[in-house]
Amino acid sequence: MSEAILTASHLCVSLGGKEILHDVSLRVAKGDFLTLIGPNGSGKSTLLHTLCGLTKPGQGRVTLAGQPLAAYGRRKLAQKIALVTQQHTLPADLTVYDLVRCGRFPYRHFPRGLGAEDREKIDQALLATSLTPYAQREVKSLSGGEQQRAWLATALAQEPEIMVLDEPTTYLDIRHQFMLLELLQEWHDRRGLTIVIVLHDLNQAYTWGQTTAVLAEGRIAAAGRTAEVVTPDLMQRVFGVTSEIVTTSSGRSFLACYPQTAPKR
Amino acid sequence: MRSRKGRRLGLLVVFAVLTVVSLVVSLTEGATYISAHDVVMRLIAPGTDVTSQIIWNLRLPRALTCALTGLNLALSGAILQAVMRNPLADPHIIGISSGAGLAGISLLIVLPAYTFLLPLAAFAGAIGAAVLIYILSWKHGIQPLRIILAGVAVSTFLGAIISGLLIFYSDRVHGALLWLAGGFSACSWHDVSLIVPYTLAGLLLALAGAGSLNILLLGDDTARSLGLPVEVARCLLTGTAALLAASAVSVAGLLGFVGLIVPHTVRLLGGSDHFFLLPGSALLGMAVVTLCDTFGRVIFAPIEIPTGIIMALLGVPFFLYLLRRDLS
Repeated sequence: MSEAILTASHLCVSLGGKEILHDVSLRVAKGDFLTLIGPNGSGKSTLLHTLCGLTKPGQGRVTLAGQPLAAYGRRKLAQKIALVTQQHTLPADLTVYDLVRCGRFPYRHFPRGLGAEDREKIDQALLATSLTPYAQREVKSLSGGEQQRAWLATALAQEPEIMVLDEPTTYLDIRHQFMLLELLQEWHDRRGLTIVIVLHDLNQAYTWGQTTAVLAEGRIAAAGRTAEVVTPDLMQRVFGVTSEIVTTSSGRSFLACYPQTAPKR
Repeated sequence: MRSRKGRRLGLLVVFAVLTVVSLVVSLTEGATYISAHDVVMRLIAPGTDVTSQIIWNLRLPRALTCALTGLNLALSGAILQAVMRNPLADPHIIGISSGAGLAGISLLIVLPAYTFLLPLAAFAGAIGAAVLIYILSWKHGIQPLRIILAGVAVSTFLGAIISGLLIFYSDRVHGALLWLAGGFSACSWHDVSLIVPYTLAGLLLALAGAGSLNILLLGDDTARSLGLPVEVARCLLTGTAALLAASAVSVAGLLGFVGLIVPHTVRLLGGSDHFFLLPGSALLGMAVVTLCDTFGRVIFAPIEIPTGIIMALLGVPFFLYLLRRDLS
């Protein structure tokens, strides 16, 4: 296994007097595609925020390339880790271009505005997400899938080494979910981008992950190679659902989840 | 991109022209009418005649005070709306002006000899009110709705204290009463010199923060992950807004709604990018307050209607329009 880029050791995080994460340790290897799954309220978002340095752990620490996050400072950190949050707020009249431009904020040089390099990175990010024709459209006038791609483009313009995504496929139809995951896969393969992604769909976590971490009630229930972690046995224990690894005639395998009461067809 | 940029540039030019026109109009109109030509001639080459005296000693300082007050309040509102992520944020509504007003009134009552400390007292009051609002509305971060409700509560509370002071010290408050109503009668070069440094400092700080304000609109988590130290930025920008509002209050009293109407108008016309919104609000703020003041001076002459009343009469309908628009 290659060297660790992001390491969380013995994290305890409390929010509003309630402990959300208990003694969580996690190792993200450089170039990993890590899928993070867990039931609602298991602390996935809190873990992502702590990994990005948005939430300070009460105990334990997070290191990036061997250095504690605090040693980087906000701006340097933003050049290393990009976060795509679960809920987006943005002004109604913001254009795609202006949003993606925000991705260059960590590279700002006051009082100079956008440099030629910034413009180039923005154009590349738009191209990589097929949004070039939409650059001057208002983000809110786009479809859900296109809006999500605009946020991905913003994160890409940050030129991060690690991209952290909190349920980016929520509210998207199945085709757009696949498009988004394929895009991330491509960036992972071609650019060596390390991906940490929360997914609700267990089969998607199984299909796309190289490694998977399972969070349950604020603790890591299992973490490691996806094929070894996402097992029917563990899914039963953590999510309380019945599942099966199914191999199709073409040789691909999937995790199929089904309720036991489901009628047979 | 070109068209949007061109439109914004065009709007800024329109606002600038409007500002110049409103300043000239405020110099021509009054008890005696002076033609625009005469005004310009006297401005270029001041003489010793009565007309020059009227322009240089009466109308120009008043016009400049109006313009700078408008600039400060509009800029303050534009900043607060982004920092608090609430379209209804305005130094008047959320109590920052009331804080400045209370501190100012207290000074006028307790230490009437120290009027020159008014801007300082008003600034302390404004910052005090801003801090109070933040403390009251802070619970795991800032929530736009909570902050506006806390602000309205603080504003009402401080307003009650001001009213109480006015009743108890009715013998000493005639000047204070006029001051509170929000007006520019008896403005002098002293007022201009009082407000100018704050305006310049506030304007520079605000423009330096334009990029951060744009990032803040994306929400705290995204802003932080983009490398903005959110809490620090928020404190600095709120401080800037309080500074601007306080200096405006110290010369013009409680002038409401400029901070609300002007930024929203600019936003409706040209969008919410702060590199456009801030200079646009500054220019339009100057024009609007100067025009309202001229209007108040002229319409029922020789009776002068305080600018605050004109602004409120225009501001309230606009405010209601905004409310309906945002709720739907």
